[in-house]
Amino acid sequence: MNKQIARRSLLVNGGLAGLAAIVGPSFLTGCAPANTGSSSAKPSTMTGLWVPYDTLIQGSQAAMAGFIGSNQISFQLNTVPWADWDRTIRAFPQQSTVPDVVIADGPALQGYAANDILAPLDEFFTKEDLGDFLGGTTPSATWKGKFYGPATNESSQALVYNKAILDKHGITPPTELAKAWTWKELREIMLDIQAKERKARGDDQFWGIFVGQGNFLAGATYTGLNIVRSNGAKDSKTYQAISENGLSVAGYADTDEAMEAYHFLQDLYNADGLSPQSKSPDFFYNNQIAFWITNPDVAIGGIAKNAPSMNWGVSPHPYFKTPIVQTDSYHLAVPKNAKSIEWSAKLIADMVSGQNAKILAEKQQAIPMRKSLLTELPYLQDEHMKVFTDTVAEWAVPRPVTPGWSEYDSTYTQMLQDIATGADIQKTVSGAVQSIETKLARYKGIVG
Amino acid sequence: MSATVVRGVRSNRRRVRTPLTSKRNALLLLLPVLLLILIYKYGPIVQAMWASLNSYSVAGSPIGFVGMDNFGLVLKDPAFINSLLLTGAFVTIKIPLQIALGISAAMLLRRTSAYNAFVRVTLVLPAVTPVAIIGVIFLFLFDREVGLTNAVISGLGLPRVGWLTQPGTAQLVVTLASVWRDAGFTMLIYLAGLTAIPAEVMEAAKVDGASGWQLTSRVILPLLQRSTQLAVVTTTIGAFQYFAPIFVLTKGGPQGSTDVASFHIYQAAFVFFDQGAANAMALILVLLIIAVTAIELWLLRSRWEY
Repeated sequence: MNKQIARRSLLVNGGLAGLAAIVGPSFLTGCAPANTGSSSAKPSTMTGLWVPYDTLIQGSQAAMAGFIGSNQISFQLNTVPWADWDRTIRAFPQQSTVPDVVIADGPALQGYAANDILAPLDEFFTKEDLGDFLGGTTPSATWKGKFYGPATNESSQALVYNKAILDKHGITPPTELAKAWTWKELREIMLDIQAKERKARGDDQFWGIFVGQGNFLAGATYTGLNIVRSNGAKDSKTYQAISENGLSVAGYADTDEAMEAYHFLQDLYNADGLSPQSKSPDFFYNNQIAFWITNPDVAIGGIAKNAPSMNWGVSPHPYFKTPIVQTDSYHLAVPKNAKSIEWSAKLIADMVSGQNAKILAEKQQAIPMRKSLLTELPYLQDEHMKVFTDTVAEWAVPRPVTPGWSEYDSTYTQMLQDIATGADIQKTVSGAVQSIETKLARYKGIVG
Repeated sequence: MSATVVRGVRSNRRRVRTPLTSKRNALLLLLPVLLLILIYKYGPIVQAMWASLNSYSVAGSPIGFVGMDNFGLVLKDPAFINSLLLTGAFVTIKIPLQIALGISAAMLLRRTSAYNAFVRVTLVLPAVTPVAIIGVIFLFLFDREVGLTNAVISGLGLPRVGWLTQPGTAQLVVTLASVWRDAGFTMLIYLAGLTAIPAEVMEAAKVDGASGWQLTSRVILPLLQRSTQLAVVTTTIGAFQYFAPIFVLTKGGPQGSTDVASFHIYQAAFVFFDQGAANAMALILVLLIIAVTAIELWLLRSRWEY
């Protein structure tokens, strides 16, 4: 009898214990409220979530070494693939444990701030700091007057060219911003070079230009929109691209000037055939393309890796009426439910101050996030970096600032790609504008 | 004596109903796993049903119960209706194509030989290849400028085709990728079905003077009805859920031509953060799959026993 009770009790208790062991932790994790209280006590360990780019990781580690060393904090840096990045950050409010510091893409910052995912950090930066951060990086990081995190560096875009091919055709592109080509001038040059090269090579595998980083035809919002916005005067809606509150593109993305630019883009891929209908930038490395609009990381890193012996140069980004280059890069930010917002913010402020800001830029061989450093880093005046640096100083603007960046960016990018593949421009633009309007309208309650 | 009998009976009952063999204890031991299945398999479905009845902020926090409003909104959304129509067209083209290929391959390769074994493995290989890799393979095959297909076409002096940049051809490539991946699995289903057909039935048909075509059309195909039912149902469910190659190859484009329902739902949930609408669309898709497969199961019910 006792044995039976003991066996039954063993089964019942064992079963319940097993259940608790298996289901319990998931319930606890799933149901735990997000950590809302932030401590000011110095943590012994901190964690960071970075994009898996070696130069950014090395630069960040070097820039934080002093702070974590002097405060005897151990810092664990984890990475998440870029494709999963946005979803990972958006899940922070539902998590009980989040990283202390996170890298966020500049244009998406306002959306994270509007959705209460990140903590405002303005009290950890002086007025001088905020004024010294480059203008292309601060608007997207500012939401309702509060600052949500500095950039790790600034990006830039320019017209990279294959010098050997241009030399062969007696073309010397300008290197000063004031002498930058217009799109019309560049088109004529490209048509000429393309025809001659194709004839000499005996095939059609040579093109005038590759627009953007390669994931989308027409260069996505980052590059393609430069072309469109440049067809308006500085005070025009075409140049502004989005309404001041970031919630409307009707009357901005579909102006006559914008439509004219879309036609130019479509011709680039179709009637003129100056750009390949393919997403691989390898064409440039393989001497199959004369020009490439890209950023310094991709150009310098990509060419060094894929075509180290290539003789190449950099010319300012072409434009229609007004020179414009959209910039911004990764930012350092703090999740609102981080265990110590104060210490996370102190670490970030230290990483982008004084010598550390310099180290952060130097290790990446990138353009720094501060205006004051533009003249202090010798490599910025190198043959390949000077045009990119000058562009940041004179032409840089942020991408359209909106809390609904993800919705805007994906819809606009798809629209540009459809135009590049020959879609009816009027219908495509009208559909995209309507779709963006609907999606951004959901933010009306948040913007106020 | 009688007391001894009673004790004996009791003793036997005790031996038969030991705790380790009773249904109740078995259930108790299975409970942790059953609960896990309930929580992680059916829990999300219930959660999705609940989410589809609620409205959510762009941050994902619930705003309030809206009843069937999300269903009304998505059913009025021309983009979603278009994605359902595209899915319907995709399913309608894929099923007959895949069944025809699967059954033909099974008939041709049903005899045991080293050559047939090799070809069978070759045909099944795409089915075990990660779908994302299949997307990349088709990208290399059908890229306008560097794809193998256009290399051959331009080598013949013909103009290059924008396989992935024109709506009609992009739909064709996406369908081809899907059929190419799954035809091997369908062949396996039919090979199993062919093995199950009794040799006596075939012999009897031959003795009765059935020709090759008569044997196939009047004996083999009818007796493969159960295999056809399984192949059609699994193909239908897979086709409705087709996602990864579209994500790699076309991202729903060009011009929305490959924006099938599963991709459209992914965009709504993870790019446009409209949780209520995405869950409503997902449930509509699930209901459609259930309805279509139920019809298929009824139409293809087995009429012959062997």
